[in-house]
Amino acid sequence: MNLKDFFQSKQFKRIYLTFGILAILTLVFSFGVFIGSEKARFSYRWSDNYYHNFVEQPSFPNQGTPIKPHGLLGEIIKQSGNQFILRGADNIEITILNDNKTVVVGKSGNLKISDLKEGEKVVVIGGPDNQGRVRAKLIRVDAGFLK
Amino acid sequence: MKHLPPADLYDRVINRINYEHRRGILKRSLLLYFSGFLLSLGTFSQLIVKSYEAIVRAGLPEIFSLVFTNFNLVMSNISDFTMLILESLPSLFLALSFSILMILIFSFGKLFGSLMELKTLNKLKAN
Repeated sequence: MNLKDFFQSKQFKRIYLTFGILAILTLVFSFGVFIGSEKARFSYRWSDNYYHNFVEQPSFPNQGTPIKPHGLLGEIIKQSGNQFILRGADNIEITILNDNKTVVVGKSGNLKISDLKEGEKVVVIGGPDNQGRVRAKLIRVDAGFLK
Repeated sequence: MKHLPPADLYDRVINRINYEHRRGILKRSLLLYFSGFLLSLGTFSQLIVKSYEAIVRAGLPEIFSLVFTNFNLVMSNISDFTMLILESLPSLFLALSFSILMILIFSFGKLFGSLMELKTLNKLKAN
C-alpha cells in the first residue's frame, strides 16, 4: 500500500476520526476541569475573605495549585501514629490518614505503617475525607523514580 | 503560398490554457498546505514538549508505574486510581496536541494529494 492509497483508505479515516474524538473528549474534559477549578477557587477565596472580616487569621497557604484529593506524590515530613504529613508538588502539605486497610508496599514487599520514615518519598492513592485529609488505601514507597 | 494553422491548434491552445489554470490553482494550494503543514508541525512539536513536561510534573509516569509493579492493588482501588489519573492529566495540552495533530495530518494529506496531482498534470503535458 503506497501513501496515496493509505490516505484514501478506511483505516486512515478511522485513525483520523479517533484523533478527532480524543481531541473533543479532552477539550470537553479540560473545560469541565476549568469550570470546577474556578468554582473551587472562588469558594475558598470567599471563605478566606469571609473569616478575615471577623477573625484575625492568616490566608490559606495554597492560592493557586489545585490539590489532588485522590492521591499524591511527595516526601513524608512528619510521621505521627496512624497519620503523616506529606509534602507534594508546589510544597503543598497534606495529612495522610492510614488505617488497618491501608496497604504499604516497599521495594522488598509489604511494610507496616510504622516502617515509614520521615524523608521517605511515597506515592499515595486514596480518597478525601470531610476534614481535607487523604485517607490512604495504597502507599508505595519510592523505588528511586521520584525526584 | 498560403499558410494554414494546424488542425489541432485550437485544442492545443485550450489544453494549454486549462493546464496553466490548473497549475496555478495547484501551486496556490501547495503553498497554502505547505504553510499549514509547517505551522502545525512547529506548533505540534512545541505542544509535545510542553505536554511531556506537564505529564512529568504531574507525576503520571510514577503513578502509571504502579500498574506494572502493583497491578492487583491498583485494580482493587481502580476508582481512586482513575480519579488520580484524571486529576493529574494535563488535559488542555492534550486537547491542543490532538487538535493540532489533526490539522497536521490533514495538511500533510492535502499537500501530498496536490503534489501527486501536479505530478500527474506534468506527465500529461509531457505526453
